[in-house]
Amino acid sequence: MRKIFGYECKRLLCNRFFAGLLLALLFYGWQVLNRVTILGVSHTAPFSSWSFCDYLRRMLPLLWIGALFFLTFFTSRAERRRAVLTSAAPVNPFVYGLVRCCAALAGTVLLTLAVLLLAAVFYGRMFHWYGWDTLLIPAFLTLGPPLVFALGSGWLLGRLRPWLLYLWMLLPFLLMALPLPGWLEL
Amino acid sequence: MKTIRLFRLELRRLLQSRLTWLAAGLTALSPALGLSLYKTADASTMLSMYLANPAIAGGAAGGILFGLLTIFELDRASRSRVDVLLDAAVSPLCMALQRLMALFAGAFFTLGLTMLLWLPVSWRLIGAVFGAADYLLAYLLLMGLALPLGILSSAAAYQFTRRADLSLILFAAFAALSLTVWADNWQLCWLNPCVWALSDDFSNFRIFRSVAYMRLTWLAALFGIWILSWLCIRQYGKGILGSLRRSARRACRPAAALLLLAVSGTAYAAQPFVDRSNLDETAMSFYEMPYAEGIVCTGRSAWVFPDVKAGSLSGRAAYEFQNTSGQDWEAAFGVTPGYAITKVQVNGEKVPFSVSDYQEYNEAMLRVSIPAGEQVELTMEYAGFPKENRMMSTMQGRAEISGAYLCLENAALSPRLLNVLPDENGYPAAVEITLPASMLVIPFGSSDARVTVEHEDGTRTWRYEENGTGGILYAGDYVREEIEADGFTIEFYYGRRHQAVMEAAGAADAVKAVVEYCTEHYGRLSFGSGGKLKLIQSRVSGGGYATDGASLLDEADFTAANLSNTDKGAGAGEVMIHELVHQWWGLGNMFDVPEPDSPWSAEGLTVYTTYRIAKELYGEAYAQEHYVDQWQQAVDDYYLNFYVRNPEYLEMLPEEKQLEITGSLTYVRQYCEMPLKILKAEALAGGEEAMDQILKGLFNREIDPMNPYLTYQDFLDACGLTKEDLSLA
Repeated sequence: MRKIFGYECKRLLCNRFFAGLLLALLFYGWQVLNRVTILGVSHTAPFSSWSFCDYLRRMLPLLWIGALFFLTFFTSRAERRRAVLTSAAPVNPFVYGLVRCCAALAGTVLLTLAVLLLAAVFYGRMFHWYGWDTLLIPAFLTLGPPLVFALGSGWLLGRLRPWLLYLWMLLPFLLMALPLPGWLEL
Repeated sequence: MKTIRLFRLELRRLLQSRLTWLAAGLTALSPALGLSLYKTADASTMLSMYLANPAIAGGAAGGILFGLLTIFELDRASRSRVDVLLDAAVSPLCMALQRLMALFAGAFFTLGLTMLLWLPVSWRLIGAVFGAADYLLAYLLLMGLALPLGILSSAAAYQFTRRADLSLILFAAFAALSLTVWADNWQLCWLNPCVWALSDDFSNFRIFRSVAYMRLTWLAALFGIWILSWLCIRQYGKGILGSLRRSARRACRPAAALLLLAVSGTAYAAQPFVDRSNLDETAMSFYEMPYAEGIVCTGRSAWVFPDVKAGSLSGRAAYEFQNTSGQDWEAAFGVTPGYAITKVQVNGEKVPFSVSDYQEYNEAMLRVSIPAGEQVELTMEYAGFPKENRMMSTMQGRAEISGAYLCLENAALSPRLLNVLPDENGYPAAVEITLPASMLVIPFGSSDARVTVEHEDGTRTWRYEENGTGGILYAGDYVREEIEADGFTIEFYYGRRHQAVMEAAGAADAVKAVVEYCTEHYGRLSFGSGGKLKLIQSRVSGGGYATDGASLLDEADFTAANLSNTDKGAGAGEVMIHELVHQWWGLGNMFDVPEPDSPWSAEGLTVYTTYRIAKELYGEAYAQEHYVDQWQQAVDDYYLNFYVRNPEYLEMLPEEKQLEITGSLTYVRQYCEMPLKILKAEALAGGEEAMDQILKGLFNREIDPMNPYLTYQDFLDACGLTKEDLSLA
């Protein structure tokens, strides 16, 4: 299984898509940090939990789309043709699915780490601030649940109808545009 | 012929796609978002609410939808696995060009459909101030140009990456940047232009020019990038670099891309709309220049020729000096950035001059050497398109010059003398301006303009005299109404298109009520001559100002939308109230230049008095909610601000960022903290009547001509309080 996991990770991460996504995320993140986060949120420091979570909140739609695109690797037409062969292999389909999900999660975690690393560089360079231990739990609480939800719900929707994944990508934008109560926002 | 046939086939294929019709349909409906969910223009004029907002929302939604459609269409052949066959039949470069043209055609068709669909709706919503030119320009510029930008950016992303998923991510990030972090940068927000207001009564050409410039800059950049991506379209089984090498064999292709990118970069860097003024609002270097000794200015003249079609201006200014110092002197003038000084002469001889790169408060400095001599006449010629202050770059439109409206402030009218004192007569000035016959010229002050020459080309030359180094002039299709209030005359000027709203709102009565309130509570104004005050309606600008004998009224003070506002009644007019009150506080009683660390200025008493008038006119609840609560909120925010509490972190930021942050906080102390302190003083002094008596005493006090300013200490002494008593902590 470890070999399959490594293979799936290689499929997801060693390609133009991952490199392009990473670059887009880093550029977008740098713009957010330099133009919005730098001012601080709700009267707090730019490196406070509030401001940091605001930065993550702004990055979340792109991470959400990235995570769902990882899943499209497993639901594409080519993949479905390939499934005739993979389903004949002596591997428990549930475990195989779980391994693939883990690979998508690994890709999402790598993207998240890049986003966090970018903020670390920004805080260190701009404010000489390195108190990261205070931000790890807020980061986990802000990004963990929505991204796990994205992968879980995306996996189910992708199995149902692959094109539903593309519609699901629009969810954060829809939530941002609609005047919804705070608890419904990502 | 083959190209046209291919284009027709591609367009037909595109129009047979249900997704195309879905994108077109949603785009045509998307202006509705601007009426409810997405309102970027926040002024209350009818055109802002019912034309700018729908058009911007339509542009943003349409740009995104057509971007997505482009990726879907470009990926279609590869998705259907017919790309190899297609490439064998038609050159992939040719096919990409046809697809782009077909998508453009689809976008323009959608724009036409949207304009037809929304024409009756906008007409009905906007009412009497609807104008066909505004409608066309708004939809073409605010919405129309967003669609090709969306198509070009997503097509370029796809052609570079050849992956629909990555193209979608790149396009989403590019669109999100415009809609969020770039939204306040007028040059970067390619999808949602920075239009905060459109004028109902006057013209909007300046803001439309600015949007067109931004959009064309992006169009050049994205076309350049698209051509580069087009050269990267994979051919003959080669990779991206191999294909690029092959496609770039025709040198004109990469040259066109580089040329477009260079044009775009130059257009971005050399934009003509906004200046490079120092962001430090406390910088006063132009006002701190030493005055010449032994030199006086005895008079000046200006001949001004606005080009109302181009929105630019040319002029000639003459200054007379008496130089008894026996030495040369370098005279300094403030010049509006955007104007080029073409010729400077002293006593008829050309002399060298220099214009500084440094700009402050929308002025650059022109330096000219004045030779020793009893009588010196300095003349200069200037021309250009005036730039606006970069601190107001998201609120452009103020420096409008058109056949319907014109506002020339200080150095925008003629170069402003900075470092030579006047003789005992002040700076007597004569200004002549030539404008279309339909425009009425109104000097912002006590002088009156009169027509001196009527030209055969339908223009008229106006002349007026005033005293000072600067001067402001308004011109447009104005109506003049005279209002008698407490023994003096108010000349009330407002746009002809606004006449019905002004009459319905009872604007004249509202003006009278404000004057009567201030006269009754503080005392009568004393006028130098004529016993009259001008009140001039400006194009929507988000604020106003006042000078001796004139105050400004913002167009947004009285709009058709306000007529139905039951909270305030028909006549809102709070900018008008504020600027009229300045005739008592700021002009009737002078205040020294505010110190950077003190909240005391004319604004404190003016805002407080505006609050009292609003309380009397609209009730206590309204005044509490819209004045006191908002001051308190702003002051709380100020003192809680991270950088106010921790200035050591502010110093770590780049200088431009520091100035941006401090600049955004400066107004709070004068406009919010001081009124709150006066409100506290009112409570400590015994209530409103007691405060009225104190302010009446201050207004009518005997003024020391050597020190005519009303100081904070004067105010505290009159209240019998100390600074500590008024602490808000």
